[in-house]
Amino acid sequence: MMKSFITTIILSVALFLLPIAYAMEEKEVEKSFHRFNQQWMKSLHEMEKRGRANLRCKKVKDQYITVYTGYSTTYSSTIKKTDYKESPYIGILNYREKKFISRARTFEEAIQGPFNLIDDYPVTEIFVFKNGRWRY
Amino acid sequence: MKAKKCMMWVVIILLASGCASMQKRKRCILKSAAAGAVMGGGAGVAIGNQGDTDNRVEGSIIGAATGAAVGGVLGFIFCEEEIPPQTPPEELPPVKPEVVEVKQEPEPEPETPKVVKKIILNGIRFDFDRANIKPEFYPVLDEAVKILNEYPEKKVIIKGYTCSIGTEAYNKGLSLRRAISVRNYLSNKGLKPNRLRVEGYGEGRPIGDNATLEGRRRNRRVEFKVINDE
Repeated sequence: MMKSFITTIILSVALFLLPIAYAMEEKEVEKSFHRFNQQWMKSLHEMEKRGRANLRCKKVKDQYITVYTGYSTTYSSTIKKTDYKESPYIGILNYREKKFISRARTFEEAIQGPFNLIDDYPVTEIFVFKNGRWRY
Repeated sequence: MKAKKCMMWVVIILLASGCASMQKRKRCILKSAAAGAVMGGGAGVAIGNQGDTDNRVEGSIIGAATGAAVGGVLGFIFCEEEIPPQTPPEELPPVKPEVVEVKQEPEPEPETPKVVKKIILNGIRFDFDRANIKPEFYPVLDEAVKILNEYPEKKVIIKGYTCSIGTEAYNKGLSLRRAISVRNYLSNKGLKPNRLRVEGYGEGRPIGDNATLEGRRRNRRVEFKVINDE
């Protein structure tokens, strides 16, 4: 009688604590995704710099055209729990990608600019969390 | 009776010692479970002492089992998750400014359809040299399906890319086959096939340095472009 009472109490406590454990794990994963995003956005801005330093010129009719891609400095992110044991979370990162163009009669002028914004659209990157890390 | 006792202590010792190769968190959980088992076993014996010898043994086994369960749960909660430091996305090497002039007679530029939305699927892995998607990446594709359903009237270009390992022609074919796999998955999820167009770029348009492992990982990707194609 006493034993089964103690067992019931212990199991009830365990069942009560389990969701708390999951919530804490989710918070940790979310934190790791925020850290990951900071690095990811930094690398995109590095890529933008490299693109600007390595402009390619295309001659179309009498014009030289130069295009480069830029990325917004603001971004948002979220994580979602999945039903898959091997990939328990996915991370979603949202930012904007922008295309800038410069047209001129010589390529020297074209790379000098000014650059005008010709396209600006939202980008969503989806990452998977597997074996304790964000995969890409 | 002795055998039962022995078995219990063997289990407890095994739990307590843990496996040397285990992660820190798993070891911590096992230790909590072992501590719980010892305490539960003790409590079980104490309660069982009120009855006969059989009760003592039974009590210690039940006590150890429930103690281990509770200790394990508490360990799961309080042992810190060990998230290995993430390798930051590759730092790009400085590149000397360079201007490339395209001297060939230019072709008239086709009207580029306006991009409404871009989706990049990262970490999508296919079996080596194959195009079948591993089930662990279904959640990534399912999320993409949700986003694409927000643009029911728009066309979607599915672009496959590979790293530079392999010949260019082979990689083009492989990237196309992979893009087709993704298209089939999307169609099975209810997206109209006439909305979906596939393109395989192989190792073309790299976004990472193919000389590094990290760069090659970034280059193996699938992108969706939702376009205004009116």
